[in-house]
Amino acid sequence: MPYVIKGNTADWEAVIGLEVHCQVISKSKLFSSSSAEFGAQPNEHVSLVDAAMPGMLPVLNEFCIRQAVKTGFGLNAKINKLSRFDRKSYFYADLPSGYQITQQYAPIVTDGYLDILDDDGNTKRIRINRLHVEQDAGKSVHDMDPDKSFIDLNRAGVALMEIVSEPDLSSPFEVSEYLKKMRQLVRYLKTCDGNMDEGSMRCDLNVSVRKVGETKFGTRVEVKNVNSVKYAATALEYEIKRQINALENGEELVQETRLFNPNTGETRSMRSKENANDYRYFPDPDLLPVVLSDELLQEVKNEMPMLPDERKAFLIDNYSLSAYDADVLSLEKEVADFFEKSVSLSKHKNGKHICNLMTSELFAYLNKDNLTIEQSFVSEQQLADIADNVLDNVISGKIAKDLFKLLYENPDIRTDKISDIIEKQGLKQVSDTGAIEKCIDDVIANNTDNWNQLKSGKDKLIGWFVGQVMKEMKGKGNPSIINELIIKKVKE
Amino acid sequence: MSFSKDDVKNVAMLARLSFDDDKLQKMQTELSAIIDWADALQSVNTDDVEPLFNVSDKNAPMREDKVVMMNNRNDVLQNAPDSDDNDDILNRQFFAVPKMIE
Amino acid sequence: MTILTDLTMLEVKKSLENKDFSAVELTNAYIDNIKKHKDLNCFITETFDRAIDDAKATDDRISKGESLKLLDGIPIAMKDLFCTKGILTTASSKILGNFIPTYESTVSQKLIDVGSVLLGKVALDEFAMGGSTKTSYYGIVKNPYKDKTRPDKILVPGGSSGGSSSAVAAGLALGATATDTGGSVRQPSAFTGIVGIKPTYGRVSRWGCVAFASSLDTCSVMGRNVIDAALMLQAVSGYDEKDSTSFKSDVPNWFDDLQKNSDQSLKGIKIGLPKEYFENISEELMNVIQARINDMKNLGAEFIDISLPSTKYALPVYYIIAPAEASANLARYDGVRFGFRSLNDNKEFESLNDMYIKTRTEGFGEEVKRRLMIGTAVLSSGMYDHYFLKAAKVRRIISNEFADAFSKVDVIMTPTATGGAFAVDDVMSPIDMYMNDVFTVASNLAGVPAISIPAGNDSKTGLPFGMQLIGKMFDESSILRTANIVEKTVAFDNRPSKLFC
Repeated sequence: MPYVIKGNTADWEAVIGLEVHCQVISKSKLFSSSSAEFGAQPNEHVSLVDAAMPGMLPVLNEFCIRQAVKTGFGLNAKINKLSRFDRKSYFYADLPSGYQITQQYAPIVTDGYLDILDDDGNTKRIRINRLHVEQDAGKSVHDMDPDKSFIDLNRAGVALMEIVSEPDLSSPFEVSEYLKKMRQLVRYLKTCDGNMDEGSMRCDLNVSVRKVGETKFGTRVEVKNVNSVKYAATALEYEIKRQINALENGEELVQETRLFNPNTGETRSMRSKENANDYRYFPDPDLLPVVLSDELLQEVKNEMPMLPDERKAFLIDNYSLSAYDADVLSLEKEVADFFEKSVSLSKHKNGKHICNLMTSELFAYLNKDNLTIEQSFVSEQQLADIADNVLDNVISGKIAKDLFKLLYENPDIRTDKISDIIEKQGLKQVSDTGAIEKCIDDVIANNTDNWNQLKSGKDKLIGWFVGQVMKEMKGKGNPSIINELIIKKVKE
Repeated sequence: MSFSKDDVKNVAMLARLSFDDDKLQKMQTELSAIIDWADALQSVNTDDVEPLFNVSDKNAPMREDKVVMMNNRNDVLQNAPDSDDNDDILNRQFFAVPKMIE
Repeated sequence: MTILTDLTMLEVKKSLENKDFSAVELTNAYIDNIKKHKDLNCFITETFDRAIDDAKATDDRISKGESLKLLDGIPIAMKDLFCTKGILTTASSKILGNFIPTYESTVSQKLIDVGSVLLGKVALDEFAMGGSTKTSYYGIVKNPYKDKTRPDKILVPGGSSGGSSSAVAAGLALGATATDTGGSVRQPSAFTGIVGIKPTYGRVSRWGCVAFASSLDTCSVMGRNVIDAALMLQAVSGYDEKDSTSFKSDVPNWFDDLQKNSDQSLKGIKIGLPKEYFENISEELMNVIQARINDMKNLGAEFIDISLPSTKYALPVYYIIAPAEASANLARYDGVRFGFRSLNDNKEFESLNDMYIKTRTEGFGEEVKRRLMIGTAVLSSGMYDHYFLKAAKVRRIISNEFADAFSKVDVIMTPTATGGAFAVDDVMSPIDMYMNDVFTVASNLAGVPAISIPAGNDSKTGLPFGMQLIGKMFDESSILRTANIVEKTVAFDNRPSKLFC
């Protein structure tokens, strides 16, 4: 069912477009060679160019352009071999030159798309109008003095990619999916770290509503300051309702910019005469057109990793994984890489088994400490060895679990070989029938009532006895041999 | 084309300038005259003419993504209007402006 | 007795090597002149201590027998648009009245590197916007020349590089830097009887030069004769990776070329005379230009009548594009990070915008504000296509016409200005004032190099007239060579001392 909102007078639908700002991963800024790194002291990463000192001139960072091209490829878009930078003029204290250098008239990337899942779980194609490169602004700090605001220009001039979708989205769910998919993409490409809470990925929503069946667009409202996937959905739900209420009460909507307040979940108008924007775009005369050579495009193409959807399909086809497992592993490129590397290092190449160990054991520990796969306490090789030892019946599945715990709790053994750990800690599975039989006899002796019940036909108790024997043997008994021997004894 | 008083006020607001009434009047006349004069261009046939924004026929040179700091924080803060008014530590770290209302 | 400040750069270079006088002596002679002619009001900032130090460094090199650098010991003036490290840089504006750069512009650094002596920073029209230097916040600059028909009148030195032109003409500097966005080096050179060259756009780095209109701004130089100007240009030219519009190629050795080229013939040179540049000029100016044409014909030059039909659109195009670019370039003067901030009668500002508006309204002069208004208007909503984009398209046509012309001729010759220097109190409307640039703006729009040299004197007023030679893109060599040869046929006295007899 498409997303329809029941009003008092009619059924309504929402028309939504997104502008996503992604801070480009690069060492230096877009037009200056000062550091683009986070976390410096105020104004420590500010060059004379960033502070717009008189006579300072911009020089373009090639890597930022490559990052934009790469993201463009990821969005299945057209890469424009000729693009241009324009000035967007407005006065604000965190915009030192009084204009932002952006790409209004001739953006570097146009006409792409991103496939997402809609509310019904079907694939929906969201068209991307453009991706352009521009400068980020500085930061204003308001809470340090009653009469003054303070300006920190560390972020001023860091490269951004603005990715503008067509108004193809129609529900808060779709918008969440779109944002997650976009974040996954830029992380795969390593063109943006995608951290919305740190502001390195931000989004503005363009929302309008219309009656179902209507083909004309309604009055569009821009909602700014939406800094998480969750807020995007909250802001949309609020804004859609607000617009429908207004229209149903016979009010006219104005095209305006509204600010989302995460504390109240509401949006409020930012209208004021001074903010009546007329950006006066024109080509930046300090910069010449950006022309991309075929070599550059080919080089970037060669660097392209397998993209999320492709990777998922690849994992299903090559490792016989379920769609669900493949989805989990391909969510982040690094996880899929870890998985594939581990499989390749293993003897048995049993993807399903390694996937299970990762999703059930490894992830549990990583999630507990909020660690990424790159910070894993188990290496790809160790994971491969654990899996192989289980499949070779050297250790039991139970011991495999214990090994994860052991490695998690003992940083000093993390570089050791798994076989050495098994050896040293005496974790090898016991398959010697004599030893197992002796243990079974002990368990029977201590549990005669249960044993008699089992003998008289209560088959369910076999499992219980296997468990007891395993426990007695500290998990090292071979469970299938234990099982076999118990059944034999019952029949005796 | 002629500029109304409101047009001139609007342009002045965009440029962050203000004019008292006399000067506004004068600016209105001058601006209208200059734009009228520039309207001579409308008679030029520019169909199929590519605009020329910069005479260089080269492409934007691109630099390597390398951090090179040619200056320190003092260099960018040294000329700040508020910076030498007092020894406030904040003024040695930030540019200070009148309180901005979010 | 030799008057040191009358010597040309070549003569000075030779004399310094021969130890006829020291660089300090020469510098002191210039300092004395500057003090004597304070009424010309050329300098905003004098850097005499620095000048003496620079000169001493030259003398040290001479005494150690080191080979001298290109401009070793040459006392120069710096247009106050070039940022100079540790030295006040105002752009002749109140808004930069307290701005001391922490960096050295590429041009001024290059002049330091070749051993020149910095006498100080000279005035200009505020932010280089004007043709008279009347818009300087630091008072009008006087032209050392007088109009014989009205000797009581104070004449303008032209603009925007009027401090530079007046200083070079009056012997307050041996050479000077200038900038040329629409004629700002050539028109003041013409008005003061000196040589000014605007090289090809991209030849000299703009880094560290306060921007007016980035696609037109061309850092330029002045001297009292062609070789002096060539020496200055030699020193400041070259690729700069800090300026994205800078041209990546070797700089020809113009100075060597002019020195070696003792051949005084213009044989084989084709000179175009664009008819549009000879309409409505005075008889006196036409006579002087005609005399030069005859001289050049005698030296073997071939003259060809050409047409640059869109010339009449050059001014409107310029007065759309330049203010538009300026409106963005000057947005950074907002009282936040450097420069003047309105005191607001010691009251708190109502808001950030209140501070912006008061700072900019008080900090900029009338002409700058007028151009910011024009520039803001032509870029504003609904105006861009009609004015800015249209102007950029006509600019292409103008540029193509130059390219076509240069397929037929090597050099184009025109008057530099419509007449000689006018008086400070001559009444002119803004548009009349803008008409001053009528012969010079087109070469900025096309980016081609152009030089102005003295062509002779007005038979009525006695004032110098300038003639302009325009060359192909990156062919400064042809106009310098031609100018160097023509110069020798003109009976023009370029000694500053003659002005103060």
